[in-house]
Amino acid sequence: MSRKRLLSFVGLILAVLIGTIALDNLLPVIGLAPAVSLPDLAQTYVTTFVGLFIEAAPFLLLGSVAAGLIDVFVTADDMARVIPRNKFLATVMGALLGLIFPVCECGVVPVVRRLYQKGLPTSVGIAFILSAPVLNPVVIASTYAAFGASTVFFARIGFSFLVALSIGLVFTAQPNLMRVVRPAALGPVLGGSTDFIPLESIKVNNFSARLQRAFGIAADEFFDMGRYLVVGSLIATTLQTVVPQQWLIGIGNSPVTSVIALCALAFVLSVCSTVDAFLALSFVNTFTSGSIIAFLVFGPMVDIKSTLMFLGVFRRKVVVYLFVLPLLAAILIGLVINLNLAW
Amino acid sequence: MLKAVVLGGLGLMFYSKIVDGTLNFYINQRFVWLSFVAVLILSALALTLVYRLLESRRASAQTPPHPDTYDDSAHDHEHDHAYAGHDHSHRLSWGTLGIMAIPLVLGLFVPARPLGASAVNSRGIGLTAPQRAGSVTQAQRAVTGPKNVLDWLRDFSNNPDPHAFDGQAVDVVGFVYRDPRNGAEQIWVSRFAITCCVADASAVGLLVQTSEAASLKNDSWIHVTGKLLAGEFAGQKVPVIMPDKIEPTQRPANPYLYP
Repeated sequence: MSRKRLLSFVGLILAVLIGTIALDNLLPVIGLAPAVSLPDLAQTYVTTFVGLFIEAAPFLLLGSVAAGLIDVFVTADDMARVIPRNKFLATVMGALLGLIFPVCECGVVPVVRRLYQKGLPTSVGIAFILSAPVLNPVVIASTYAAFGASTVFFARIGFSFLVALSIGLVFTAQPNLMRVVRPAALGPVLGGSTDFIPLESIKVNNFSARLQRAFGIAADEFFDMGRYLVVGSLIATTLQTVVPQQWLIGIGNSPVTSVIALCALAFVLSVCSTVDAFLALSFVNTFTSGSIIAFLVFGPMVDIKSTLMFLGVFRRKVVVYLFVLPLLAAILIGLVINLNLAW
Repeated sequence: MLKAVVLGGLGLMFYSKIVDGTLNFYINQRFVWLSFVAVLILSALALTLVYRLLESRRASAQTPPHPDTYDDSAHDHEHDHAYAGHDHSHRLSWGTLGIMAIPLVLGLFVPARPLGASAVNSRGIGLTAPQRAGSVTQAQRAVTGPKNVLDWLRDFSNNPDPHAFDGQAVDVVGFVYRDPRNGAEQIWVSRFAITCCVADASAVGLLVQTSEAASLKNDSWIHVTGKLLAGEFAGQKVPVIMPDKIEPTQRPANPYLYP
């Protein structure tokens, strides 16, 4: 970066800083937020929606930045070196990848899309997308904070790993990425397959230019995925403010319906996996333990907003698989626990 | 350019919510730092886009203008071009921009108001406290002041005998809520408990038996002092507050309770 450019960049930052400070003092004066008083239901709706967005957007932003950085700083060769040849081992690695890339379900989708562009095998990406929202340091820590080293804690981690791994292995049957991912989501791999395509990013060596480029990609990513987050949050909010929660919770005691009810609730609430453990804690008294484990396994894998984000990357048929397989697995786990091991 | 505006606007929304304290109306205090992260990333992204735009303006002032009609699906092809100094970002559809502007508009232009009595209707009110393992918060609270609604409910669930609390002094703040099951002289003094954000809010409350019930409006904040006595609600024996005094009060800066 030349000196002149550097100066203009610094100037820009200063201008924005001064602008925000000025706005800060002006906001109350000009009353940017006019005292429109909305009907109660609409106000509740807006508060819930904005709350959901404020909670989830930082994670999506982190995921987008990670995606941008991966695009610029990770080469396809790096990927090839790290991922084992053996399909099974590769899928196992995909399921454990979250430990290195700590992303939740909002952040994982942009990351996996970039990794696919870098030549990540289909099954590895599927295992990653399903397990990373649970098998990552942040979520493990929050689940531990909520449940301690209890059965629920170990069951959540163990089952999430197993389910993600098995579904990933299912997808080893379809190694052709083009059949799994929407062509639009693949960009540079158009016409290619899972072959490693060297990208042009290697050409740019200047660090600040690369960083700039990573941020540009992150911005695109944030918009591409953000729209699904927004629409998902709108739907989740609608269901929440209109459908009475008691209606779902009323069925909490039976070993069968409780599992189905909590899976439905996990889907509807669309709460981030980093905090859903605390939410689950509030059901401990009213719901069966099987249903709580099902909630904690299924929720991070699939919910309204992640389903919509999946639709932006995967083909429709694949999204159906990504919805149905984890759901069936979670219900099965919940039922087996409730009917055989009820503690 | 519009992209940069939306990004910057979202950053501003997060920033203004942090500054005026209304962030507490949306998410648990524990996650406020995440919003700081969001502000940083959003402004970095917006700045990058603006900077690029300026760069490409300068470049196109020197060379003949370059048509930048990249469509959504092919934009990634164009990276090489981008490094010739042209605007690299792909054209976004108006739809996407519109959708991304929804949280911006709702966040900036709709006045922040925490959940209130009307939200209880769809969620239902709970007499049981949401559980949270860490007992640290309870220990801290014991030092900072009288037990709040949530602390009481926790005590109730630890001791199922409704008469066990008879005569204990209560001093709580909450908003007024009426349940269809409440008699004419009974209201709830209630709060929302949130673990993560308002999406998981659950309403909790203590029953208040008072002849003034009719004069108390839903959603108005009250400070209730009195004594507990086992009473009846929806056919169940539960501890009910027999108030000595019910005063109208300001909404607390932080309207929610964290289990």
